[in-house]
Amino acid sequence: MSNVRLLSSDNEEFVVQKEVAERSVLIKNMLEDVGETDSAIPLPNVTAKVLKKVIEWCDHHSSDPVTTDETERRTTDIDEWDQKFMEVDQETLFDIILAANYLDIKPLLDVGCKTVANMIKGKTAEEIRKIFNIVNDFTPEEEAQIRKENEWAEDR
Amino acid sequence: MTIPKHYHVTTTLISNYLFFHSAEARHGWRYQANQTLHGEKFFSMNEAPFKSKSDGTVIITPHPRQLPNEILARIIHHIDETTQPAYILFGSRHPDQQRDLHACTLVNRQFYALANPLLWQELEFQ
Repeated sequence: MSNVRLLSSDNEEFVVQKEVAERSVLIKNMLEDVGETDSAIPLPNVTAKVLKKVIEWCDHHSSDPVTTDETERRTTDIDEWDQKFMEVDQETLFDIILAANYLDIKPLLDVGCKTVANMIKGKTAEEIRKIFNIVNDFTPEEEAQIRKENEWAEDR
Repeated sequence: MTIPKHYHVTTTLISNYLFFHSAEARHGWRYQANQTLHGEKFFSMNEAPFKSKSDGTVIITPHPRQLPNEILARIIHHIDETTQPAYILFGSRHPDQQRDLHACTLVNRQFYALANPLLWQELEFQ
């Protein structure tokens, strides 16, 4: 089985099996375009720390059937291994999501987004801002207006 | 070859600028990271993330610190997903999901822009 060399943004090289690397559609397409190559594939948007996590995920899921059905993939619950995998600090979680987006690994992107969605569920707007350190950029008038318009949807 | 100090500062600033406007910075929901560098002011655009203090210290404040819309949209769609057949059948939303979407509309402008259409969407079909 052939290997692929990946180069992180901080110049760390990773040697991974081709089928593992090809969980990334970006890398898969690159390899198809370039053909057999000895040079490492540079991934300027991914640090070694994050790339290591992403490779770990791809390795665990290397034999998963590729689900092209968007709805099916999106509504499936996060499995136990993935839940454990996503037990990282918030910064790493977002980095994994961004890397999955950049590398075009849809199932990993979904797992990441679902994890964040689960963190949001059951929270108030203020709590959501607090968890993710989001600045409230509404003017008081705007906020009042939205509250009024959406009053019908409020939890009571 | 000696690199003039001036040059060094410039490249550091530019690489920081690129960094903060690249993947790292786009998700924006992070701790407020102020990076301080000694140097001079190189960017004078309106919303430049650099401020130079009188002692020549440059403060770099990455902004606006946002998760890309396409990703936040995915996250909010997950909030709006239901796996409960009864609600799918009646084309209505589970009260919990309605509450969560409602909360999202009040977080900030980006959340509002993405969550509000969803909150109102299904009502049209009821």
